[in-house]
Amino acid sequence: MDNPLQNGKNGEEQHPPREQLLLYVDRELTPKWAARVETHLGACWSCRAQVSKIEKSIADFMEFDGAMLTPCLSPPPNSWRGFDGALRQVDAESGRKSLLSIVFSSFGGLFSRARHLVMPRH
Amino acid sequence: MTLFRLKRKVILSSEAELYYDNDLLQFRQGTLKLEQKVTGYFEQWRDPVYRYVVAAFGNSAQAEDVTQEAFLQLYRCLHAGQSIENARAWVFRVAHNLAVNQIKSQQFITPLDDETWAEVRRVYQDSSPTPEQKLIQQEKFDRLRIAVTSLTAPERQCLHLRTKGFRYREIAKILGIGTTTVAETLYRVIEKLAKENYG
Repeated sequence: MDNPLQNGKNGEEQHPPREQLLLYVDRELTPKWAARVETHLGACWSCRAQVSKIEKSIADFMEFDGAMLTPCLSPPPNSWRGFDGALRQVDAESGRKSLLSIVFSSFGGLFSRARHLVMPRH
Repeated sequence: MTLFRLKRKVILSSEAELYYDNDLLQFRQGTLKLEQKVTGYFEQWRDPVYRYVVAAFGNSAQAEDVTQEAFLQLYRCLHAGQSIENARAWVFRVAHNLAVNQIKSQQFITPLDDETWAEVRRVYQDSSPTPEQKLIQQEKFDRLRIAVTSLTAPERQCLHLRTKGFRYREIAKILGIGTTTVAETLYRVIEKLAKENYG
């Protein structure tokens, strides 16, 4: 990710953009920029409050997801009953093809050997 | 001399047959192992994949088929000898693409409809010690429900993939978008959640 800290007119370090703070929380910044944001947060209460707000929003959503959203999702209508049969069918289709190729190659080998047995060598 | 050569050829042919039989046996054993492997993945990941499809695309009837088909495609690819580095992300990507093709044309049906919401809200056992705290908790959930139902399709997709533990690069690969877009989308989601929750 790009430099999360913008420099002001006098070259002093300014606040990182808010969206960069989410990257910081999600450990998506490079170690170098993460260290710079970390240092900035050590000095800046305003940005620390922003980080705290982001983390609280994530925590609230995860609580909501577990307590309310997931129970609202209806379970699979067929309770995964069709999977084993479908997998066996796919296996049979794939297996049949490969078995045939093996059988043909076996016969091919045997035929070539039989030819050497039958055909006189010059 | 000719007879000796003939016998040797027959022996060689028998060895060859044995070799082919062994090859066949190994192939069958390999297939069985692969079947067990994919069944293991299916049992482990089917619920997160299914929940992602329902939460992001809103159709539980087709979500089950989409989920199963994603795992069957995984089996087909592995069986064909294709190397898959991150099978979990691969399954999510295939399920996402199948859902896009099959479900996207239909209207999104929110799992948070009034009736279901009222029922889950009634059943939810809050651990808050006082009735006032329980009320605050319920109001917070009501506000989050409004925020979640206001999310756009890409926002829902990024959010639910992130909650499944995927990193930004993985989400970008699953959705076929850039990492920067994922970061921007997730930030919009957080802003919406925070705005609804804190004003």
